[in-house]
Amino acid sequence: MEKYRVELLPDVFLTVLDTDKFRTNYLSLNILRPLRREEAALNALLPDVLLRGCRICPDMQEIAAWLDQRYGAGVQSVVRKKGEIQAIGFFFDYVNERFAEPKEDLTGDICNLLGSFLLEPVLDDGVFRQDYVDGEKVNLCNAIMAQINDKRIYAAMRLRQEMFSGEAYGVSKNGEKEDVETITARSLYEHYRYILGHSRIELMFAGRTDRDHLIDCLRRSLSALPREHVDAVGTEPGPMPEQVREFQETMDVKQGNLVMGFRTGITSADAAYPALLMFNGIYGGGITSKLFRNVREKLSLCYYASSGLDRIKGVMVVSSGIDPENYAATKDEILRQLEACRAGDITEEEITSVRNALCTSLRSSEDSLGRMEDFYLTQETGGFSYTPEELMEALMHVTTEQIRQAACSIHLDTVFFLKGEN
Amino acid sequence: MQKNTYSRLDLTVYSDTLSNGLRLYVIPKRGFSKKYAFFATNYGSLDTSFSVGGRKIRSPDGIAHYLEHKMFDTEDGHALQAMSATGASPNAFTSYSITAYHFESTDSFAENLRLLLSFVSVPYFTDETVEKERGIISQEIRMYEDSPGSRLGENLYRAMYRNHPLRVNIAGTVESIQQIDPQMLYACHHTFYDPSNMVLCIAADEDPEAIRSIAEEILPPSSGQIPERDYGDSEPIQPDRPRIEQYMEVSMPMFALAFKCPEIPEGQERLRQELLGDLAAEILCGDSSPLYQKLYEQGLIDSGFGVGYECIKGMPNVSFAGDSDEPETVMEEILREAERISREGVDPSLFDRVRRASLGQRIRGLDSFDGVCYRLTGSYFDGSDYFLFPECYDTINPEDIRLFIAEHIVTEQAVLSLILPVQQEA
Repeated sequence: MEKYRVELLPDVFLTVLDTDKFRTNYLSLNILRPLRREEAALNALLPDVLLRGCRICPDMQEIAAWLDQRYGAGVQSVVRKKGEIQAIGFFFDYVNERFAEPKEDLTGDICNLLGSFLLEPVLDDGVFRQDYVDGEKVNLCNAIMAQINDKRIYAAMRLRQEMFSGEAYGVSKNGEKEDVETITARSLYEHYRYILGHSRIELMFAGRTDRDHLIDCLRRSLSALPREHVDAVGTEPGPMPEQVREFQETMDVKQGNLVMGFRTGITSADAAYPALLMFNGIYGGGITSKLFRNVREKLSLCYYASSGLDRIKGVMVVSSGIDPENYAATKDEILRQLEACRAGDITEEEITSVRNALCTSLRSSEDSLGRMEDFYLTQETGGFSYTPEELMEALMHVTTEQIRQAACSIHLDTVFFLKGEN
Repeated sequence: MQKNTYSRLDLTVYSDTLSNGLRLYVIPKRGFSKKYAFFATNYGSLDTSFSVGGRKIRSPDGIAHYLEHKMFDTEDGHALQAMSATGASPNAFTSYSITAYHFESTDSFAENLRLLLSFVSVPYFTDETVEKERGIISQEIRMYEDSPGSRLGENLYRAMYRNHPLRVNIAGTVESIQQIDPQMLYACHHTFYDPSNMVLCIAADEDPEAIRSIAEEILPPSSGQIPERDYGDSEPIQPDRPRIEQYMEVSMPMFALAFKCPEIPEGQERLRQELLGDLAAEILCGDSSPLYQKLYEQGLIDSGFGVGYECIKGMPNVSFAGDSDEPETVMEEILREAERISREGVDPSLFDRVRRASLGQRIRGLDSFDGVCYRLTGSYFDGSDYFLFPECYDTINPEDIRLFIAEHIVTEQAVLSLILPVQQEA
């Protein structure tokens, strides 16, 4: 894979991840906004409204027919949370041109449609169409409400809301239902016109195409994009907790969901980041981890118990699905395993297994277009500067003492338990 | 080994059947660091009643899944741990029809392949380890019980089938797994984990001959015994009940509307029916169809709505699923559109583009390592060749679709499964 980056227009960047291994090409457009309550719902709603119709394809039927004609190309809205950045836009996937007729220019066509979705939406009386906005508002509200359906996701969401209540990170990427409900066709259109000019835009292409042709087509299709000063985006690590907060909720469920949020004080920009990655793997990152081997295999308390990192914010979350009777026993065991890491009770086997697993994952990161696109978007938005090779090299030199120090640097902040009604 | 080239897919597959009956496939993945191995037995949650050598056996619901969990135990420890130590990510799953063990790795591929073949073919169970797993699997079952998506699908099959074991959940119930002991697990392993009942599928930049040598060296000979499976009395075309509902903690009603289709014998016809059923569902209410657009604009469905065709061990259905405040209205609209198409025929231009789109999407699907191995394994057990799908699409015309819809998308074959918010419970 060869990576190439170019500034197409002021603060509009294209990253090309050139590889011929796949039958598919990916192209995404991401508008970077600071994550904040005032605009989160507007941002989340916008891509869905834009995808309802544009000059080239004015309605969904036309869009579907256009995409079918290009061998079932796909387009969807994407709203991603990268630390305290809300990245919104569209994502296209389409078949590599070697499976198309020679006269067909799939990449050129896709670039045109992308430009038209972004800059030539169907308007009514100078603003978005009321019925498109109303329909997508209902869908977004339903999606926000539907977070309750998956109890593991719901529990993690409730933890984040409480733990980061005073920080941008606590804002949900889809916004709040009350905020969506107050949006009008006019307020959304005004916000759209504002962010078009005032946002950095990251385009990501992954797959194989004629690079110069791609750049020409994108420059042409985005030529009407207004460009002014752009709003800064970034992530604050946030304060360490003064005391642990615990809260619970009751619901009609059979299984309890225990979620524990920790502040690590270490982000991907820090020298200690590789050690934190190793610590997370040893503690709760997979099958060889202390949580899997003890909470699940040894004590049979659960089907899953694992920890995960948000490397941009420097947060670690542990989650486990348990019989509500075992709440205290599970929580105690999760904390006991953390104490073991802090005491340096870490074997060579644990270190080797985790290092190998992380390296396998990094080595194969270029074997999936989706992972590749997301990895490099995170890199471009989060200031994360390691390439996969550099990170592998750094992991080789992490010592047991550095892992122990990483374990000591983390602090339990908030504990949430979603339990059943007996 | 036999080399097959599928020019319309830019794909080469090496295959062979070993002397112990194992079916082996190798798909070269040039330029990829990732290597993937998939080892599956034609044994799933459906296979609880069977006979071997004239002796009838009825095993507990959920035993195939329980067995999958316990296969990772070896006399020396735990195969998951041993493979993970090299950086590989091993895992396994049990479906209605198969149990599969797989791993991906970048280094030490041969070493991991040996471990995989060895732990799956050599069982090691003790009373203590089997007992310990009960708590873990009980929590897994509880997780599914709280998952509206799982319940929606399980309830659908419970209502659709009168006799067939598709009525029963894959993992069984917390109650049904209580009786499982090491002797039962050994017996099921001996019966169904015979190389002649299994497929090994590799997607990796590796020498096919070297893989065959490893498989020949590690796997045992076949016992020669072929179990007879009992799926109960023959299944009527009418569903057991037309409607099933459950109240759960969800934000709005979820629905799955499915149409039961008649059993299809093994062979290439299963693939053709899949492509046909898939196209019919897309033309009827897929996101390119006029009906989809109408329902979406009326707010009756959202972008989470999906259509599809599924065939498990020859038992097919066509389904339409999503979230809606008015699932019954969606059902009426689909039945009305099916009637219209049956009467007026399929719009030829819609047919052309939907077929083109489906072809493109299936070609793109070949980029997935696990997807390809899963497909290849399923189609071997079905007696078909999945990679001939481009040629198979060529044999389908709009009249075939009209007939399919006229025959199957009818009220008499419909089941509506609903998950409703507890707040709406009277």
